[in-house]
Amino acid sequence: MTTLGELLRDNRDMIVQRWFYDGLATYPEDSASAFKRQKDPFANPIGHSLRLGTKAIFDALLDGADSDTIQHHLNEIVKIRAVQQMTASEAIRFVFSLKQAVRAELGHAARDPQMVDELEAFDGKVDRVALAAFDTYVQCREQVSELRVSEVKRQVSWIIDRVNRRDANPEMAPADPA
Amino acid sequence: MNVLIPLVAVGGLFIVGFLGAVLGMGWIFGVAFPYLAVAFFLGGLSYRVIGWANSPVPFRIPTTCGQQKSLPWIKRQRIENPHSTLEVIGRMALEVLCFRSLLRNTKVEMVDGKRLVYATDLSLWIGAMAMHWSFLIILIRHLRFFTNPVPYFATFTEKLDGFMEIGLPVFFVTTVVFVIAVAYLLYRRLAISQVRYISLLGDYFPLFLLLGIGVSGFFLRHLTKTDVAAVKELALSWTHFAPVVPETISPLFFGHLFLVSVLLAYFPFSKLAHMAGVFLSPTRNLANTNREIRHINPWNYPVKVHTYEEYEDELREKMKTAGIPVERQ
Amino acid sequence: MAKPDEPEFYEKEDLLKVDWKPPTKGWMDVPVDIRPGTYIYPGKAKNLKILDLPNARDWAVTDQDWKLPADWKTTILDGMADRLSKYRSFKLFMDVCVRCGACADKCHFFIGSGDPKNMPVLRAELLRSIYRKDFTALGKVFGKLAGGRELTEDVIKEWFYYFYQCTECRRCSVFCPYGIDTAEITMMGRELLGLLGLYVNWVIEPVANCFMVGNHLGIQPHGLKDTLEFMADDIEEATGIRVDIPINKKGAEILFVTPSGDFVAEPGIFTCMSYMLLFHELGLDYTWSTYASDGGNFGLFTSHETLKRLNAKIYTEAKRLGVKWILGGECGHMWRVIHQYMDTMTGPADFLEVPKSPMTGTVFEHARSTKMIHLMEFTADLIRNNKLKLDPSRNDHITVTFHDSCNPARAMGIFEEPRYVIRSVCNNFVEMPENTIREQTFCCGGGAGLGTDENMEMRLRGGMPRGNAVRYVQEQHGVNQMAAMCAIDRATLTTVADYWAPGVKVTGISELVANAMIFTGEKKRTENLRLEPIPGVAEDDEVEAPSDE
Repeated sequence: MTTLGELLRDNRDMIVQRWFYDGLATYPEDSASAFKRQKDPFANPIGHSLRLGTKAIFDALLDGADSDTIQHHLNEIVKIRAVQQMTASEAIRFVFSLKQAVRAELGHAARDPQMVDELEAFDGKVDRVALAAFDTYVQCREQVSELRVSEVKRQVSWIIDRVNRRDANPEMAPADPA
Repeated sequence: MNVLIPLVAVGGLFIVGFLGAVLGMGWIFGVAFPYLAVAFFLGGLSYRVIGWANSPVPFRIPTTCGQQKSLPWIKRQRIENPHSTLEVIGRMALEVLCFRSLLRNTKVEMVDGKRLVYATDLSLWIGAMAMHWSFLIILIRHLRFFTNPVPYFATFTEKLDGFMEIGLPVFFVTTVVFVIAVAYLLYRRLAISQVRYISLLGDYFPLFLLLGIGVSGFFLRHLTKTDVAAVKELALSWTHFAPVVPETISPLFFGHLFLVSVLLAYFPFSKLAHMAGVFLSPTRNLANTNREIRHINPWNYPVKVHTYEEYEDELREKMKTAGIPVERQ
Repeated sequence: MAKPDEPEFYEKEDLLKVDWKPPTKGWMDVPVDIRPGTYIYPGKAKNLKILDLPNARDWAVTDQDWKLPADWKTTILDGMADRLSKYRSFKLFMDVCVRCGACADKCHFFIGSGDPKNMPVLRAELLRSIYRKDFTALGKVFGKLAGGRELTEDVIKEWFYYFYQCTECRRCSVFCPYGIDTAEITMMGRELLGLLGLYVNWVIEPVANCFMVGNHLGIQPHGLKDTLEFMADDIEEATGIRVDIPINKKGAEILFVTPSGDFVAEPGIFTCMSYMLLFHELGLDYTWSTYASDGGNFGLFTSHETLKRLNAKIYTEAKRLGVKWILGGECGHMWRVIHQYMDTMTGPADFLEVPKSPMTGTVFEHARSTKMIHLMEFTADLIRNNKLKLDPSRNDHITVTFHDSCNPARAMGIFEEPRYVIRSVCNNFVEMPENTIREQTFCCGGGAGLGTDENMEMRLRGGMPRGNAVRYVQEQHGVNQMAAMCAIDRATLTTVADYWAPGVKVTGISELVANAMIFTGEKKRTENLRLEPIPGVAEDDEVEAPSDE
């Protein structure tokens, strides 16, 4: 009797590919095809990060790798989606579609009663990835807000600081604290 | 819709030409339409070119793709960033003859996630080069119908083109290349969804038209042999402005001819006018001598500015307090 | 069996409920989706009034009614007709596009957003479809079949959204077989919108400021003097040298013009300090101007007329001050204006002399008519003639890469001068991948008046291709600084790098020069111009300290 792990390993390429295409399906079709075709990481960062990321996360799930690896690749993908024309749910929905990709590729095997339990456990793992993705998404959004603030600060902080220094002690040349 | 309508239209046009000949309207399709088409082509194209030329080039805006001319010890790129008329001609020649910009379609691929490999995405360039050059060679070959004696360069081109010496009459490489290239460009437009997304009816129509002309031309030469002598008699009679339509020309030829007529007439009023337009493109055909030679804008007009005097009047006290020199105390 | 590329692949599985978008509607039928974070706030009425621009009113992008003037349609169509007859570029670019798709994936906004209307060809089609409908024979007869469409208020909204999502970087024009330049089209689109009073405030307020006070930030003369003096203080703290600040000095040899972005925001101020240090060390007879206190020109992002209204100040001021020639600082779009527009618009500058370096005697013949040269041309010539004492090892803690700014790259072709300077002052210089530099350089995503904060999401999308390339050299070669000779880059790339390649700082080239330069009478340099300790030096001190005692 083959275990789910073995089955997933055997079908890895097809599952990952399907998962990758599902992830791209969030983009308009014409754009998705561009992201699919172009393998250049510089001309096509969206497709590139999604391609590498889905593969790596799937492998990490199979090997039971530490959460840092998953987090790293999740970050690569979610960071991009966090600044695109997507709602929060659209941005992280791709994680859940791994479940469907697995079921679609395993076909009848997925309906085997013995497999159902194992699949449930696997689903649990996917859910944890999804929760992590949600955290990452929120972090990215917070970072975007921070960047806005710090950019504005950068525009004024230096000059305000200098004005304050001068006004605090108008007699003293600010550059010469001695 | 954008694909279907032009496909049906081109098919329809072919049949119109074909039937016209069958119904004995040879004079209309063999003389009237070709003359009209040539008139449209020449008149229309001149109209377009004059139209473009009538709009001035107010600013010198070349897109520079290489090192500028500045300090003498810095090597400059003469073609990518031309600084003289000769260099501009070089740039334009590369652009027009070799489609330089399409050749730039580079991409980088990361192999095994580490190693960078530079490659060029040549598919569009190859397709475009094959289509345009084979079209030109085919046109030159067709000169033998219009000239007596046939000029040397036409026969020479023909000889080169038929170098494989397969079949009787000899197969021309360009016919095959042309049809394949047009088909590829059509395929590309349909298969790459982002190109399909931007494509309009006006992008498919000329492709179907060219395909129709290419395929019917192939048929005329190789499958349903046309009375070549009769065709030449017709073509020569056009050039003498004493048109005669020989009876022995097959209706298929009139289908072919009618498509060509439509192409000629359609040409100036569509995107195909890029053939002439490319020469006028201000981002390509100007030398980057901007800071060396003043470019004149014919419609340069005075604008409302905030003069220094107004500026000083508004800020004089502040300037004086800060110890900044002023014109009037 | 259906392949994963085909929609059937997804449909055949009942289990699979993927959100696969059905074959999309034609782009003409897709309405624009405007959401916060992607657009810039509209121009305020007060700014439009200062500039005598039409239809000044306060409105919001999210409003249903944009309060267009009653005859807006005629205004647009007349405006188009006028511009078609004045600009061959516009007319030709409306006609010759064959929609080959070569430009499609070359736009940084398309790459970063996946929005098809960010493909340069479609951005142009937004205007072209109206042109075809109302100005071409085929379009008038066949309408939509010939690719035409009706001009509606939705079209205007779409224009506003997408023409302020183009940074006029001209990257697409490099790849176009006909040289179609989307910047030209965006400029026309923005001019047309301007006829209806549709501007973004982040462009039109700087323009109003620059018009009245001389620079985009609205720094008044005394404020500018204070700012420069604060910089002199910082310079003294870092180097022990007190630099002079010549302002509006009549009879100076050189007028120095730089973007006002260098006056306030970090890290631009460090670049500005470096200019001052360099000129001090050379003993250059130069002056700042308060009236022409901005070389940058947001008029370029407004209309050709506004461009000229702001640009006129530079030559006027050069004449008033009686300088011999003009030197320009590190700026991007300023150099597009100086190089491709200034002489034509506000020249001839026959009252000036051909620029000649007082240190090396080099005559800059290539600027014979405009009489203005780039600081990097000037500096490269100095270094080549050994006029600067340099200690590049002071920059050894830096591994730097160079971002070609769009305008100097694609509207001028100044590639080697900055590289020569960087190599002379830094021992560790690494290029980013080939298709992201020089004429193929990727924009920072904040050019052409997009560099504000309310559209941060959009900017990060546009900055992604650049950020991605930076991160690559960061990971591969340990790059920790990115040099850029553009004030907008220095402000916006900092943010782009913080998001896409955290850990990489942005610097002007002059800052690298000043940190490597050995100045006459300088104190022992332990801090750089940012008043941060220089790593190598600080360690030396620890080692040397005991032996000194």
